[in-house]
Amino acid sequence: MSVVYLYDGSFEGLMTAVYEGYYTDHKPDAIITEDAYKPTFFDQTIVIYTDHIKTTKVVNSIKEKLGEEVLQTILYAFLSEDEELGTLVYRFIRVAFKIGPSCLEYRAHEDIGPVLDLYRKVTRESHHLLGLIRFMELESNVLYSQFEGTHNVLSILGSHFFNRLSGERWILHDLKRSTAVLCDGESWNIQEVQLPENVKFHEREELFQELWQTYYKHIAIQERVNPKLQMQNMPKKYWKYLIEMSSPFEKQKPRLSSNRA
Amino acid sequence: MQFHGIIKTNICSRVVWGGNIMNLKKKIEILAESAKYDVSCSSSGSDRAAKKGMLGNTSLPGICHSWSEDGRCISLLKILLSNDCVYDCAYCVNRKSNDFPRASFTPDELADITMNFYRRNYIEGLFLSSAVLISPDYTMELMVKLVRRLRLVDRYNGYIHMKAIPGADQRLIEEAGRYVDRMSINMELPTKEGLKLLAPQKKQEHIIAPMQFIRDRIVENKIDGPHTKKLARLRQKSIGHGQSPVRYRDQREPFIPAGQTTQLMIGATNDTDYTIIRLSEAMYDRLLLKRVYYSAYIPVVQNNSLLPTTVDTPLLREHRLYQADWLLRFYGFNATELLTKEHPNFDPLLDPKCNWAIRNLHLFPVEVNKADLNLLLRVPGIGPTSARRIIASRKFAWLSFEDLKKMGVVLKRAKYFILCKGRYHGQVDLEETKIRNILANSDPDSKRLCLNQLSLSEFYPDAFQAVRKI
Repeated sequence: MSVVYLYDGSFEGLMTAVYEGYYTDHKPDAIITEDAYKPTFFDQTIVIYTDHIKTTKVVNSIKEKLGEEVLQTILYAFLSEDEELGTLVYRFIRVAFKIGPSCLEYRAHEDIGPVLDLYRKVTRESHHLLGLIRFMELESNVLYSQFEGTHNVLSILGSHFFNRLSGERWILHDLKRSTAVLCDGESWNIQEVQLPENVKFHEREELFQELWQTYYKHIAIQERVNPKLQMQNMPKKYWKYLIEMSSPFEKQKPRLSSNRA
Repeated sequence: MQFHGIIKTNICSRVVWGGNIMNLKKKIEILAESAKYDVSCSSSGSDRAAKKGMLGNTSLPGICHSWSEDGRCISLLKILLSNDCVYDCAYCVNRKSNDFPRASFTPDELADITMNFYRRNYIEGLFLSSAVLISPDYTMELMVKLVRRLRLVDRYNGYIHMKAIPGADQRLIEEAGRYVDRMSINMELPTKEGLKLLAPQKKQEHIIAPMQFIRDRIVENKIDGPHTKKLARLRQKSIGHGQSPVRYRDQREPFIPAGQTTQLMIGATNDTDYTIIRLSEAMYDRLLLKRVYYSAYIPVVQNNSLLPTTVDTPLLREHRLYQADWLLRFYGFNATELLTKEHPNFDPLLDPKCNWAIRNLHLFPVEVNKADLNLLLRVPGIGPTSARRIIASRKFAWLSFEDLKKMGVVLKRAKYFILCKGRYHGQVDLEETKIRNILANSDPDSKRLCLNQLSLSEFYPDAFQAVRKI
């Protein structure tokens, strides 16, 4: 009979589960979110109730004994939203406390490697998206962008664009998760949002989109066209929201249900 | 054909678009076309935090924003200010005698496009370059005007790479250097003779002198930075040579923080790989360049007896040079270890590192659990990342072949050159001919990059014979 912890899918929930794993007799064989769990006859399930104090204890002790870098690795791995991440992170933490702060270097260990892989997947996608996000200027001078991330990288992107677009007001909308970063120029936060309606673009938006498409088309060396390489570097899943790859300005209207004059 | 101002600017630098939009589109079209053969598009090397009241910051590793149809990364808005050139360099699309559409941006137009592209996150910054419009000084003044406006008026804090105009006044280069992150002056042809033949209006002195000037200024500004000793020595040298450096108000004032780069054209002249790689090494050592870019010549010019007309470009050769360039910069190789006067060209069938390893089989196999970093870096297939991972990970336990696989070390080539816990996993004897055959047959690049080439021996007569002899 294997013991399965069910948590609510939040980072706090996962940290509480890790706490319980240390301090109760029923050590978990797996830690899964309640939504993803498929019941079987052979599991003993234990529901974890997210607890702020337990979370803080775990997070602080990771920070103190293993260092910020390890904590960041765990946080990023969590953002991967991988189905097995709960179990992987739990095993990682157990081994990490045995090894100490240098645990990240022990890549060949069966419990360290998988979490580093998740970390890498998330950093890779977020780095990709730092470049591939496209903002559109709305009538109110607000910059608006849509994307769909495989992993939950919204918070990583948010802090990047908060620094870069200093003073600007912008919205970064992850359609897959119906959440968005909203920034008013002074601070930013993440909220659940719906598709905006009746969006009006800035009068110059069309011009710059056209100029960018023109530039994109003419910067390629025709003698060297290489769609395979292009796709390898820029996976097709991201093309949908790229101004230069998707249909021209006019066809974007239905997507934003814009009523631009 | 010249375009005249089609936009009006008001005081707060907001632009009111009037007149014909098509003209601006046309300009982008023409001036991107003219810039596309420059290979560099990197936005790396500068790490500037955001500043209040300014737009943008820079990222040390750089960020790619798109990939064009040819698969190359688009990071910067790579564009010419003008392609209306007074020079007549035989290899260049923009040469004066070419019947070709001409256009020039005003600094204000291009500044506004840059700002708006940047805000929308299309680009990581601007890569500004230009043909020689009227004279080097005139052109450089326009370029300085543009970057000054971007920094001081538009309060732009993102990346700028400027290609300086050879022969322009040093004071202009000096001023530009205070605004840009990276500056490059393109060498284009590896030898004086080549330059004389194909670009008679360019002089090598005019290319090297500003490169030295930039180096010296960078050195002065980085007294406390990395490479302190080397820089101090070079600084002493430059003062000793009588080119007494000007005193500056603030020695720490950033000057071209991402360093300078250059570009060499490959295949327009018959210089050997040995000549090219030796030149690169000298430029890395003495001019402290950050990067040398290699650009396989594309015959944009027909009917010129000085130039090769073959349509099949030596992409594979360009690739091998890049591989060797990496070996110089990150692997501790010297140019003379890779090539010699007797064997002056790279083997098209094998990458330079494999080739070196096969010629030095007596050093292999190496035990991955014992070899130091320098030796690990010399194993084909093991790069700096893998080498560091191996060294970090073997502190905990000796690594097996399976462990290496799990860690993401690429073993396809490496397995012939290493031992893991004393075991050899190479399947064949460690013997020159056998290993050479296996590696040459599995080289990913020679097949990929020579599809359109008629015959390799055309480009590599020496190397090709050497391969056949075996």
